[in-house]
Amino acid sequence: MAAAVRAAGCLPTLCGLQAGHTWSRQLYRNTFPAASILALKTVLSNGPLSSSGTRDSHHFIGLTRALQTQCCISSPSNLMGQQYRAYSFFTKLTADELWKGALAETGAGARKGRGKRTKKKRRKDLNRGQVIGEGRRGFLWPGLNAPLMREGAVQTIAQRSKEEQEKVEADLVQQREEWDRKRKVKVKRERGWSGNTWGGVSLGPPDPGPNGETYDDFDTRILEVRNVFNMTAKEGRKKSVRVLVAVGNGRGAAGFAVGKATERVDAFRKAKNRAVHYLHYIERYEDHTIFHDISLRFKRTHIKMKKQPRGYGLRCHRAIITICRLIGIKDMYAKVSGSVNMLNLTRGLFHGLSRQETHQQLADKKSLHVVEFREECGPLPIVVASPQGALRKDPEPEDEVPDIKLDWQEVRATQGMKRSVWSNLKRAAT
Amino acid sequence: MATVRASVSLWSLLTGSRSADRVCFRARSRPQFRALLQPLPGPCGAGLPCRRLASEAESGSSQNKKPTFMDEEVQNILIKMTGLDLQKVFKPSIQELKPPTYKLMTQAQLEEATRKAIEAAKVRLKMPPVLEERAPINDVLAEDKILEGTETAKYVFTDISYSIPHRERFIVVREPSGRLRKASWEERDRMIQVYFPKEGRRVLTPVIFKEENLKTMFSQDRHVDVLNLCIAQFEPDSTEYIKIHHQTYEDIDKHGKYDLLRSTRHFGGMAWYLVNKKKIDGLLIDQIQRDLVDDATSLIQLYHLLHPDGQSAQEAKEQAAEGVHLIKIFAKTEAQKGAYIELTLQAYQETFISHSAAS
Repeated sequence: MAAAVRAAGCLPTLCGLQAGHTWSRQLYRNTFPAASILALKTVLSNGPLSSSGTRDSHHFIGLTRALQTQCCISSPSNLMGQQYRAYSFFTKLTADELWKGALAETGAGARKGRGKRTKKKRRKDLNRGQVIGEGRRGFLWPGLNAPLMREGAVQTIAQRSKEEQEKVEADLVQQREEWDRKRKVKVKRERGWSGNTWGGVSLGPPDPGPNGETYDDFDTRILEVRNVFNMTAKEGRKKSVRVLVAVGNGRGAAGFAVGKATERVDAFRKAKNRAVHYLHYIERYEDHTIFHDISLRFKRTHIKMKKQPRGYGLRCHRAIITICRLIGIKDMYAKVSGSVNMLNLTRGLFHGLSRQETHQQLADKKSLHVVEFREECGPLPIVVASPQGALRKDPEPEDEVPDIKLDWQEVRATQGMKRSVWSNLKRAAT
Repeated sequence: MATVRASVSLWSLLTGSRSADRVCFRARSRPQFRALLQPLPGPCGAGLPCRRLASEAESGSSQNKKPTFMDEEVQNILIKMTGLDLQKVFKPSIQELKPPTYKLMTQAQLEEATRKAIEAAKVRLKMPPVLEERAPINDVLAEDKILEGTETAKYVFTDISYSIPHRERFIVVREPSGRLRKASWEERDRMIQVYFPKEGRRVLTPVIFKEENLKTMFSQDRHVDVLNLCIAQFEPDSTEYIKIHHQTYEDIDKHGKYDLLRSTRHFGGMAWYLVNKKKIDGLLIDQIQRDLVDDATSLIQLYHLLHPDGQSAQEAKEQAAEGVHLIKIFAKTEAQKGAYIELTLQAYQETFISHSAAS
């Protein structure tokens, strides 16, 4: 009661005293007490309400307790213990300075990656929703919280009724709670190859180029995110994020690039925009698979790719599946042996796919018809490519036993010598 | 009585077609006829059938013998009409897919491979036999009244020796009344499928052969699938086989979907059926519209072969007509849709003239 009277008293006195001067000082300072008592009330009301459990607000408990001693309270039940001071430590500093002290972003703990993720405090704008002119008494100031002119006449200062004022205050409280709730909502990050990896996550199309070219039909996928460190003279271990990204439009044009930056987001952006400058065009047979089996070795990575009919799907390493989807290959089998270094894997894959020999090239090279025989079509010969130049008369020499190098693992698999739980495992489609 | 008459008619068929010696089923059918002839009852002795045969032979020599489906001439005409579209014959069948194999070939090798494919296609286009409906078996072997009331179910005894042809197998049924009779055709087919299962054939008739399901298949233009399933399931001389085939042909004729069966092995059967029923107008119009005038003339020749007493056959013989003229005669005389045929012919001739003028 006494506190409320004091509160009621303080406002008019504040206004009464050199009105312009006080207002200007308070506006410049952007301090707590002038920053409405309503705001404080919400902080206070939020404090005890939300102190149960959430991480953010228990940092406020210290603040709110301090505030409670300084300022008055809304609810009549707490009237006894709360204090109000018009001029205190909080009114002498700006909001930025106060927050800098409370959050403690700079310090030895924050440097060199020692800061824990859970201990990070978030800054909150306490003056959000505040309107100059709104106060506990509910006065309507024309030009501030009421319209200045009505039917051409300047209006006079009025006051809201008690119920209306309570309703307005309750509305503001509710609005602030709503904002808090929205802030706390955790946006679910799209899952890549598994939860918590960045592999397979899409970054959207690359940014448009300087000459206005857009890459809307291109999609980018992250292949690898790695924290790499460099020793510097001043700080010692300096962390940098290295990202390998592949882009493709699903119609044969694809490329990959590496981006490095201190922040992960910047590294994504760099890699994405760089990848568009290094595109390969990969020929596909009937837009769904490769022309022939490819087995290659790139540094220490061995990749063996096999051509498959429609409906087979992509049964490959997850990175190869991602890249093939970007290229537009829908059916293929690939086996990766030896090293599985992501960079070498991607490089080797693009190397092999770009050096495919199309049927037309094969026909021209050998000057013979390239004829396809399908099981489902019986003995029907289908000519897929004819040489553009002259046609050779002498046939291709064919031995009874073909002179190709056999793959020991394949031989073992066909002979039934291979005992593996992973062969013929039932997986999800593609 | 009925068995005697039936056996005589079959015998005449046999004599008529003895010149043709085609399909493997012939080997089966001859024992069938012999098997039917053997259990001839006593009163009709050897004398009566001989006399019947003699009369048949006389009438046979005076007029031309009615050509059957398996005559060489008829088969040639039907094969020519069926056509040979390799792409359609070797359409990708629904099966487990494997990646294709590639070969580098010269022109000569390619032609050789195409020739081999044509040979394989000819084998695939071999027409299934068109037979008369089989006569029901009503033979009782014994009546043992002493066994009446002992059993509640019928017993079927099948001879499962491996080396007997299925048509000669003994399959008998002992009924609860004590009657021992020969099994009917349906029972025979079922039992043979149980003991000697054939691929693609089910013991009980599949539901797809019911009326409403057949209608659905026809509305989806899957006549070829229906006929293939029918051939797999039923014997060529069974009632259901003939009935389903006739139904399919009628549906095709009604909607004019002749092209569905072209380049399949069922085209010959359809053409034979239509010629016998004298309903070749739709087919003629379809052939002329697709610029297959040679096929149209050969169809009319087949018609004259089968109905030599008809008006158009007589007129054609008088005028010794050839080609388009033959079709015109037919359109004027015996066709139901004569006007349509003439119209289509006219349109064809105009386009032909304009094409030849242009080139």
